[in-house]
Amino acid sequence: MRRVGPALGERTLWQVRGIAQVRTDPRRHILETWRAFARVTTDGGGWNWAGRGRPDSIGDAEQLLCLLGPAAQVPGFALDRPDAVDEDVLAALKPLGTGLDLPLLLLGALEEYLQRYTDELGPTFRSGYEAGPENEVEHELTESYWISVTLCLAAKAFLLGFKETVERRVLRARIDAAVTLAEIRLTAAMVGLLRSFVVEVVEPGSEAEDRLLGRISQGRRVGRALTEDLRDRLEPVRRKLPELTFGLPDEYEQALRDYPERLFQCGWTWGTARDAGVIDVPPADAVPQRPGIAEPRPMLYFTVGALQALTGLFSARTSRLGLLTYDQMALREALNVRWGLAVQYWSTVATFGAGRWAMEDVPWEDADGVSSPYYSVLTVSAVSLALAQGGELAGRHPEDAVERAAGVLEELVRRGLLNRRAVPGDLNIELHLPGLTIELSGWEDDRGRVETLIAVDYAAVLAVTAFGMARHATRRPVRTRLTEAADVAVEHLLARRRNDGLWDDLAKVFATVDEPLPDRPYWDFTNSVLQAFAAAAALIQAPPPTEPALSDQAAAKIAEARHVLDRERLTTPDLGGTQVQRLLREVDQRLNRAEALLTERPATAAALADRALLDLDELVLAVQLATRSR
Amino acid sequence: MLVFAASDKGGTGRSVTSCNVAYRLALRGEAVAYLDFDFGSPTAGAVLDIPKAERGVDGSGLHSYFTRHTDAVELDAALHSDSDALRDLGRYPSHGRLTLLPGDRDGGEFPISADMPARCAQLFLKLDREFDVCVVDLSAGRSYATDLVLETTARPELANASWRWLVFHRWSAQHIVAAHGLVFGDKGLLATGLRRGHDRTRLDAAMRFVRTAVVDLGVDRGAVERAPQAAWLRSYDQRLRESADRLRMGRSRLAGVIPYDPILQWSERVIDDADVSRLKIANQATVQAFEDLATRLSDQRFWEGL
Repeated sequence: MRRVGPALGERTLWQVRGIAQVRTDPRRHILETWRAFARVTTDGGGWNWAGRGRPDSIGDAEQLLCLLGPAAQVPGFALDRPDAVDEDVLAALKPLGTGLDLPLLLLGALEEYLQRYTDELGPTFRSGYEAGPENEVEHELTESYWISVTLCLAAKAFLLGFKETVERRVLRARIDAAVTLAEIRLTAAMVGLLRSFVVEVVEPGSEAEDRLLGRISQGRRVGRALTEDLRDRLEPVRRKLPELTFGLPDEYEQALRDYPERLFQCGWTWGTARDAGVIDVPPADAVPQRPGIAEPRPMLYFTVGALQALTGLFSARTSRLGLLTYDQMALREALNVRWGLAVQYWSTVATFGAGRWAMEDVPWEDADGVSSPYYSVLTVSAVSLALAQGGELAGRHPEDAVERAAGVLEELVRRGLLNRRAVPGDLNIELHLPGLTIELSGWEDDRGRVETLIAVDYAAVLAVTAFGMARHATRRPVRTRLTEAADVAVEHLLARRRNDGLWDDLAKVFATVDEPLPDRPYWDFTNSVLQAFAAAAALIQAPPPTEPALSDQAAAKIAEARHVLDRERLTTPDLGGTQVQRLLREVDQRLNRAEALLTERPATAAALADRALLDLDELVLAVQLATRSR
Repeated sequence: MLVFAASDKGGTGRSVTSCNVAYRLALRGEAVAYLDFDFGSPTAGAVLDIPKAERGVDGSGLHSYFTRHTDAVELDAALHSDSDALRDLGRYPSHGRLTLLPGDRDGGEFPISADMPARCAQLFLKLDREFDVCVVDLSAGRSYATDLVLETTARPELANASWRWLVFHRWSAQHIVAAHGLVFGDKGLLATGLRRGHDRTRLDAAMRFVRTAVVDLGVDRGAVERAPQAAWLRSYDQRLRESADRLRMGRSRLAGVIPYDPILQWSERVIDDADVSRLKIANQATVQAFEDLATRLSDQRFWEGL
């Protein structure tokens, strides 16, 4: 019998200290993880692909992204310029070789990956999830598309950066070849994402509409007025949907145009949709477009996953580094329109409701009728994406949305038992083990069973979402609640590390778990955790919430100091080089610095002004004393 | 193997580093010849502490070899040096010998005449047969000696010889630019070599850099007293590395980093292990850097480059 014991110290979430400090130390955590990664991945100087389960296009991509992800996102971790890599990073990755070996090893691994998942027709995205060698999996998952988008962008950025350093012709040719393969794979992945985007329009009064309404209203009774309200709110999305042409069958367009009162959903399904058309514009016509079998119904897991990965495609970095070819721009635009619509749709639905919003009803229920806190995290994530885009939340106040999201995430931390012990039989452990089971409707095996996918990274996704949402918080207390929730999730994740430093060993936090530990780490989980660290780094880099009151106070102090300074200057003889002159110059410089920091770091500005005021007062007082002395 | 040590500016620590690397190689059992091609001001004799050749020798140095066709004298450091460390080289059979071919006292620079490259080639071939490593210490900046070496190595007799270049520079913004100019500039080593008949790719692939007197922020905690100072150095170091990287002087061409060590600032000498462990007047990191550079010289993977 195993003893049931406390996993993490008992702590309550809402005893927040009011200081918006991130406890997570992303640089240290990433370095630790890289050190462990390097030990496991190296194999006598080579790259060892063996992760958990059979190698497949998703798992291998995730293993590569364990290095390339932070390298692309977190400052100080770039690996493309051998000379710019910091010593501590090199030391962590030492098992993989010296600063010169490292980019070569990565190049080799990328080449191997890009060639392994290409057949005579072009890139393949098959996944080995749960598949034995005897029944080769034929269908491609949307997840494989989006992970390839992320991987190919990171890979191309790395390769182009590395090429700047490389002088040998042979090596340059190898890099060029790898870049070309990555570009083709990126095109294929973008096409895959276009063909797995679906719109579902339901007949009025039908069972399907009932189900949809029930989902959107999250189980509450929806009166006619509310339904109308929802229709109104979704109207901007509905109006734009018919403009989509790539990969969607014509009847949607017809249905949306002719029956404006019908409810609909849009987003991504689990793979290429059953009714997906062939996209025949270049460069899409050059990559394979296999027929799909996925039921054309948006699924939250795949929708939010695609939305998050696509932000990388639209980012300023991607255009600055020129990561897309001219031809790919058309695909990018098509995806951008879908991205905008899906974000708007899902954030509208999530924030729908009078009083309580839909997302506040934890757990959220998805298309297949399954409810899970995991889905709730994803809806919050959709709202966060909408806020990042500029806060178009169907008339909702962004501040309000962030605050409610903080409440939801705190609830989700509790649901996931991230801050407390588990008692035997606690059903909430199922969130982590076995995880959230998602049915891939339309895909049945020989015996008619629907295939499933299992999402296990609840805690990591929650941390990423909370860190991301904290960036939108303009008020300090709300931001503090969000970073606290994220920090708790990160602490939980850190405690779940295996002995080799990677993930995942759930028994470390929940003593009731009695699963045999696989001998290799899970790359998908490890990659998810690294994303949480990257999200923390992004939050730390973002400007802090502004504090107008503090700025005003600092401005007043600077004004007073300036006034005293001017007066002193008026009476001090201009004999440059005297101590008084030197002090006045110093005070002047300090005040200039304070003014420059006024909006960005008002507290620092105030502290500088304080020091200037004290220095000046010593002068003033001394003069006063002199005049009073006999 | 012929190793040409060059630098754009004086005072980069080219000679002192080269001598120390030569000493390290000899300790490992390699036979090393040290050729003082700094005709204007021969200094290797002083660094190796050979009184006879402190400012060059009279009438039998390399200067005379070229201008007056005499034989070049070879001084075995184990016999002629006053330094205990170098004398010890002769005592243990596991050590190799370190032989100095000094310059001439009051030699001065000289223009290259038609027969010099052939004579130089003869010398290089002879020494390359007799020694494992020949270090050729060139004077700072572009000089007749540099031209002579470039011309000589382009000759067919040396087609099978293995040679490489080490360009020394201090770790400062201006020294980086200067060293870059010396190698890649319009009148730099590559351009000159090309005119003398070198294959561009081979010559280019033989160029490596050595950074000298670098403040090592990880080691020299004593040298950096205040946190703002350390922060400034760290971020400026990052900038220097970025600029070196842009100028094709990044890690892929970096043969060594010699840390700042006060002893070498004031006294150009060979540091032996006793200076570090017993006398404690030199830093372990400095000796380690010389060791690493010596290892790098024969690291095939490194010379393949990126």
